[in-house]
Amino acid sequence: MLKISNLSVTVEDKLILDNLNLEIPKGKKVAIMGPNGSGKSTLSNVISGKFGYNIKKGNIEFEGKDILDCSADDRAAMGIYMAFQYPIEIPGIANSSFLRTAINSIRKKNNLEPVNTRSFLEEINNIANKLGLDKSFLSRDLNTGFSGGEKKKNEILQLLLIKPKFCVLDEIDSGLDIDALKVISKGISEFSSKTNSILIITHYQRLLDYIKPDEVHIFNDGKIIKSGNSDLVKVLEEKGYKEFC
Amino acid sequence: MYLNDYLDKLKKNKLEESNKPWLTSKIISDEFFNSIFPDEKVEEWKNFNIKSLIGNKLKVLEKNKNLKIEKINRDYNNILFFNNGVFEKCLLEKKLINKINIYKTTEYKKKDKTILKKIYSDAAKYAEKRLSGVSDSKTTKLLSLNALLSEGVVIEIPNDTVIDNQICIYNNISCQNTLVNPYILIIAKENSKTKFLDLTSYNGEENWTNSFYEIYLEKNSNFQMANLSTNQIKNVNTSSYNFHLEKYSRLKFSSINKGNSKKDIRVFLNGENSKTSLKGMLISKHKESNDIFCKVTHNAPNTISNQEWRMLSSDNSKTSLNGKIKILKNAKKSTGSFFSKTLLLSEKAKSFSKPELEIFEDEVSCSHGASFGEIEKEKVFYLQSRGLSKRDAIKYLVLAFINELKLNDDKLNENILSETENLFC
Repeated sequence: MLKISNLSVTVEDKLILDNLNLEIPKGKKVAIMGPNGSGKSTLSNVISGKFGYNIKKGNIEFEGKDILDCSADDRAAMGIYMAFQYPIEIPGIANSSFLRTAINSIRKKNNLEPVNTRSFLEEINNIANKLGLDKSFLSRDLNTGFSGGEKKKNEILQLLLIKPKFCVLDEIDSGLDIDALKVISKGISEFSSKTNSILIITHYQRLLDYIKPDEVHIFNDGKIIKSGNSDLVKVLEEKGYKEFC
Repeated sequence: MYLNDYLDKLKKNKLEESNKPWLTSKIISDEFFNSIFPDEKVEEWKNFNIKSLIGNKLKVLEKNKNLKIEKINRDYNNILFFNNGVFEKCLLEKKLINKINIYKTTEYKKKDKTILKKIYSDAAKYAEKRLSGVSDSKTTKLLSLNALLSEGVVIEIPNDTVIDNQICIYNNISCQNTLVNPYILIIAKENSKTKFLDLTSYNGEENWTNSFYEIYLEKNSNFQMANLSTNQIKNVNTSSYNFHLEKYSRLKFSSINKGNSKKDIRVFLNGENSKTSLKGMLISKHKESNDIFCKVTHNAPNTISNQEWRMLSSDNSKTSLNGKIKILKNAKKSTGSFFSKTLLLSEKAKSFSKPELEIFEDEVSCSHGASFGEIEKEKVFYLQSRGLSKRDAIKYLVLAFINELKLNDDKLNENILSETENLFC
């Protein structure tokens, strides 16, 4: 579904991703683990089309199409979604209004009619309920005054509502307590299917205890230094990154 | 008649007896004839150059001239119709006739001498005090001009009157190249409760509206006013609002200011436990200049004021805001706040905000602040990553910025939405 070939990326002349090659097939869950500053977040930002990165060489193909020249919103319309490590606060816009605008923007780009208001409200209420969020959560301003856990839950709520083909979870587990981690893992498992793919970016094993990845890659200095299956997570947890870097 | 010709004629002839006792030959003096415009060096006017915005061939509306009524937008109800500054009594809606009283100022002067005495008690200095608070007669010029050219009306809301539906002061400006001078005195009597929409609807171009509102809120009255203009492009507006609050009275004022516009808002909290909330949005585009001076004077104990402003400048335009909270001796346990936020939508757009506190009493609480910013790229990216185009994301963020103000008036909210759309046309 997503294929990264020979990708090198710099920020202010500093090489962050170094000739990276990575393929995430349809229906697979791939985890990238690595120490701080290894380039994990750069990778997720470059996939989703964030500004400020210089692509020196290589490409990213999504369903066979090179997406590097596509805007972030075009990528979203194609079915790429990123759950942010630090979701942005926007006071003045109600969460439910934002969610409907997001859904309808994607639908419009795919030549689909806007969502039916009633069924949309039913769906977001159902998802919110599953994530243990009360109704007032939807009328509050977007991420404004939300706790860390609520922000991450809101990212998963959007994931379940938007139903993208491919999602990057950029440290979705950071700052979560055990209960919130369980809820969020359950949400991700509900999203995961044979028709979509997930790229999980994390530091720790604990999220991967709940969501078993098909492949695990250890990342350092902007490239993959070790690949394996979920057993690699245990080795990493025992020996630490030092063993590999 | 052209404004210059009118002023020449006035200079040659003796000043007629006016219904505004303060309008004396001392005020209409050589200084007035040298220039009818306020001095830009005066604090209130340094950000708004009225002289450069109006044309040379400006006409004046002569008193008692019959004006054709061209257009009334029926989206508005409970209308008090002012045709180019002149109240049209014949259009007064029946449902309002029995609830409020409307007089020409000359009629009201005969009916209730006490209120006029109260308003004009210090005739010589009245205009100076109400407009500037400093001894500078130059700031009274626009008021004097208004008084010379407008008879004005008094709207009286009787004791205990409660009107749930909003009353619309509909200022229809249909002339061209003309100076229009609405003058409205509102007296909200004890225990009354009313909501007004102050609408200026422009159907003509190149006009200058120079409005004055004098509003008295008697004991325990509750008064709301929302202020709005439509089609203001190619017209200039200067307006002055003076609110005087007695004991336990409440004032909520909200305003959308756009185009080349200058508002001078003064609130005097004269009665114990009186309270006001002032909210407004300033929107400027192209080369427009949009300016507000807003001063709240706490003149009694336990008074409360809150000011909250948002400014949005785009293209090559400028927004400016001078806000002042003045707490006088004797106003113990009073609370005042002033906050403004500005969003600059282009590199050439300018904005100016100056919050000031002047406190002469202990045991008071005051806060103030101003912030300026641009559209944040991170926020745009977040919205784009959720499918909104860059343009829609920026529009959405502008809307969020405006929504934060929470103007509790449907007409104002509708208007803000269309104004936001216009910024991106």
